[in-house]
Amino acid sequence: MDIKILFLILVPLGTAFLIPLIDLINAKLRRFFVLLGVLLESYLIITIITGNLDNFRNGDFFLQYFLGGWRPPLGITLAMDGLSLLFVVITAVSLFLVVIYSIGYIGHHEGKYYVLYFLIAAASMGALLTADLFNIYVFIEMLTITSGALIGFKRSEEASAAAIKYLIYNVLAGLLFFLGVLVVYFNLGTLNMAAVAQNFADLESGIQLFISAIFLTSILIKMGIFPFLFWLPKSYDTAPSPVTAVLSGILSKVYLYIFIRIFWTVIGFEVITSLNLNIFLIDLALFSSFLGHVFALQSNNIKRLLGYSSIGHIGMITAVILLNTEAGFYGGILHIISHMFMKAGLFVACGYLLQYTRSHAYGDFKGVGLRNKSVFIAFIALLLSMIGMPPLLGFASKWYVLMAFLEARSYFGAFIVIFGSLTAVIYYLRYIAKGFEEVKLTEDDLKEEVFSRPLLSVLYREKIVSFITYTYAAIIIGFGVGFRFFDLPLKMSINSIMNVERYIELVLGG
Amino acid sequence: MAVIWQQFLAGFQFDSYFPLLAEVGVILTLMTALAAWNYIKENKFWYYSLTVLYLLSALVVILTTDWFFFLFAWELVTLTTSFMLAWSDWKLVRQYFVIQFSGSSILLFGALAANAFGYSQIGAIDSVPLQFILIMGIGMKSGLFLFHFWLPPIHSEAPAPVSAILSGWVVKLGYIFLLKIIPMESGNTFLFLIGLAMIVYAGWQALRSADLKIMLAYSTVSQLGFIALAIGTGGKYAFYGAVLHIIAHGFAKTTLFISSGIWQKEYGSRIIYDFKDAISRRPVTSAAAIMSLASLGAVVFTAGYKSKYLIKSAQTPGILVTAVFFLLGFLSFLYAARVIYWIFIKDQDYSNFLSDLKHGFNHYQIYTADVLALITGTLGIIVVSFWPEMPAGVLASLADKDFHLISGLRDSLIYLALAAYLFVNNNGFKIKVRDNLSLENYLQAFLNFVYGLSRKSVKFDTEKIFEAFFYNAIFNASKKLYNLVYQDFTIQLLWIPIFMTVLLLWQQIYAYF
Repeated sequence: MDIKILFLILVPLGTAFLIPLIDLINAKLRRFFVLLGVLLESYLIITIITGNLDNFRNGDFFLQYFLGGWRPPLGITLAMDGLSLLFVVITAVSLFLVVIYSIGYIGHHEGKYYVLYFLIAAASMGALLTADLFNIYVFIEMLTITSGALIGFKRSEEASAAAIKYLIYNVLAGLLFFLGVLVVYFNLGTLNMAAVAQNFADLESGIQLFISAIFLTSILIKMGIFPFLFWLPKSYDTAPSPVTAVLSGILSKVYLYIFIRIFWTVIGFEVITSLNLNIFLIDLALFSSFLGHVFALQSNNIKRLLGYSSIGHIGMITAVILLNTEAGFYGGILHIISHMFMKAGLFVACGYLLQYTRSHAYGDFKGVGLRNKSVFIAFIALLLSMIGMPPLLGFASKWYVLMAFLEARSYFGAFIVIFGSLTAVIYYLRYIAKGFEEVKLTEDDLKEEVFSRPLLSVLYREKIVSFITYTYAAIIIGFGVGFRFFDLPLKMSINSIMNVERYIELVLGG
Repeated sequence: MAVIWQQFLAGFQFDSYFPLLAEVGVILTLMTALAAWNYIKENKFWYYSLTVLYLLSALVVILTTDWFFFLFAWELVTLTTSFMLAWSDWKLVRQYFVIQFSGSSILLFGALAANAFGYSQIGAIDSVPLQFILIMGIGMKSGLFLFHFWLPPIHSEAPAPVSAILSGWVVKLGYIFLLKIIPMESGNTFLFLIGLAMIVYAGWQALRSADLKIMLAYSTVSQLGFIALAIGTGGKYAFYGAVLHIIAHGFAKTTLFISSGIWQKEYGSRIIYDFKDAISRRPVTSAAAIMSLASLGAVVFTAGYKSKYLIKSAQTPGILVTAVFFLLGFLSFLYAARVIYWIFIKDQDYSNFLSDLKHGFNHYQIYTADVLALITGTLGIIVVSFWPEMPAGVLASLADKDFHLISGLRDSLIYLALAAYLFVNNNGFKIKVRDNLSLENYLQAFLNFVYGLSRKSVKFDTEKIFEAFFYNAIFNASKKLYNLVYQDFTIQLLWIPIFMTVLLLWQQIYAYF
């Protein structure tokens, strides 16, 4: 019983509900309140880490909390093992950075923005910590609805269209997930993940297949793997930059976590192998990755391009995790971490760079690098990390992913990794070159520029925004040199993925 | 952090001839640093920081046995050297970077494959296919035959000290790597044949160039051919020959590129026909250049002679081998001698030589740093030529080796007579100066050839060739795929039931296949 993990969810939730009340008193107080919430959350995580250092070393780290004192299989349990700890930490770091960025970036409707933002934070923490299937569903719905509202935050026609498309896809996925939860409940009589995992192998194989298929479809929609990738680039493009950083940096990683949780802990990978689904899924994910990189080549919009490259990377991560080897998890989770920081950093930098441009189009990218030199250099460092240049974190993670593919003799996967790097060189170098091109303004251009400039594009606090961009670049460079720092957490999380029996025993018996 | 540091230190290997090569690398880099002191005017601080970074990473490349740090360091070498090209033109940086990056991705793939097959450290690799992949991987970086296309344009357009680094040492890194992975007993036939092709083709091109730097760049490719051939031959003396040739050619080529930079400043031109009164204007540069060219042409008593003799002696003896090596030697002698002929002999007026020398009509000031660099290079050549065993003692057995200097002298005299005859009768192979050599022109020529097949002559805007060729073709192809996949919204949603059906029926589909 450790109540701290409950507070990890409650603090952002409470912040979200208190922000409107604070607004009634004084709107300027809001920013400090937001900071307070984030700092409290960080404090909680730091105390959890410092309080359990011995358990990390012994490899027996496990925390849980029974809501209302009801024990499983009846009550709802919150559980934190090595895997969820790692995800909680990186998610919290990213949320922390993006919220500070938002303080500088979001200049209008701040109150609504922070409410939605903290609901996302609470929901992602909840989805990472809960040990109950229905609870996961609730948090997924929360994520969908709040992020849908944030995608349409600009209230332009495009943004609304993207938000509606996003909501249609994700609500459908949520429905499917709910259906899966129902089927599980009618067949096993419990929704506790450990209890389900214990009894899942006894089900008929037809029902097993049905449940796996429903969960798979729903989670693949959420992650944006090939047949369902259509909602992703559009919503990444139209959302404000910090929201895109959250969408690509945090939400897709939370869904990856849920994917791992459900298919390794709850359903069990043996079931997937016995249904021969793993081969199909690996090839599908790799094909999706291929398509993502190819689509990125044709994109004339920097934010969409980054969205397509996200599809490429997430497909690759999914495939390498599906190899179900230790090396695969190592590379996959390391790439999850590095992709989280790289993509969030890139979107954050885009938010700064695109502030004075007319649109996100390639042509308008001209001269951006000359105007904001230092931010553009950070942007280039992040791009190089996406490509996989050595001193950066992207190289280390891609290296391990490639090693995992080669070790499993999956040459298609190895090809996709290399192909991704090569295409990335092509599509990123183009933008870098464009950014350094000098702008020669004619009079017509000037007129158009003056009349079409969006009124609210000037940043609220420019220093904070550029500082966060540098922070992301520094993280990428620093951990690129010291990526061995992740060795222990990665081994812990691999241990908790592979050791399902221990999880079941601890949740049910503890 | 501690672990990675230990791994880094444990990867170093200080045996065999690699420490010697590392020392030579340091000396050569210091030479170029001296020469750059007056050549590079702007942003000196950045240039020298890049040089230091380059030097450290090149040392790691030579000395480490750890795959990871090897690739890491080589990537740093690529980055630093490509940014050094910025002192000439940013376009070169981009071209060089793209080319090197594509080379390193093949190398990365090869390294990972080797790692997966159990070669956890860089060492002799027995499997021939794996050797082939790795040779392909370094091919782009080190200018093996057919992959050398980028080398002459970029090495000739770079600033002179940077050309000296690139041509003198960076391209050698690949061959040093090959020295590690190709087993000494067996060699590699493929490498041997490629080396032969390089010597002949690039030697011919070097003979046909009027521009000093382009000639030097082609001669680099040709001399690299000797190294490739030696490593491909296999055997103790062939490998020693390769090591000696790497060192000898490193000194000679670095000196030559530095002096080419000086001449470019002196005459404002790189064409060898324009150089007049070279000795009286710049005596030290001339002496160093003559010495280095003699070493390139393997004149007896020079460094080049020793290394080439070693390579020759490692072949299976026979009349054919003797004849072929005689001709190969003649080719490199010919292009080296042609430069000497044009700069120092043809159409020169030596009537007032001594007074001119005293007067010193030089346009470009003689700097001490330049002279020091040139003297270091010349000293290097002399050391290699008279003490091929060298201080380190790894090549100690060379001290007792008989280099057959008499037959070498005979061959050199024959070469000299033949060359003199050919030059006098053919007007010194005077060839029209070729157009500006650049990768864009290559691309233009290639595209014109392709369009020429349909009998249309199209003039391309080569400034935008990167955009047009590398991008628009790819853009259009991927756009087609995009349009195929992106149908309207209902069809996008239809994927959900289709996907679920596939999943539910997957057992049957799987059984069917």
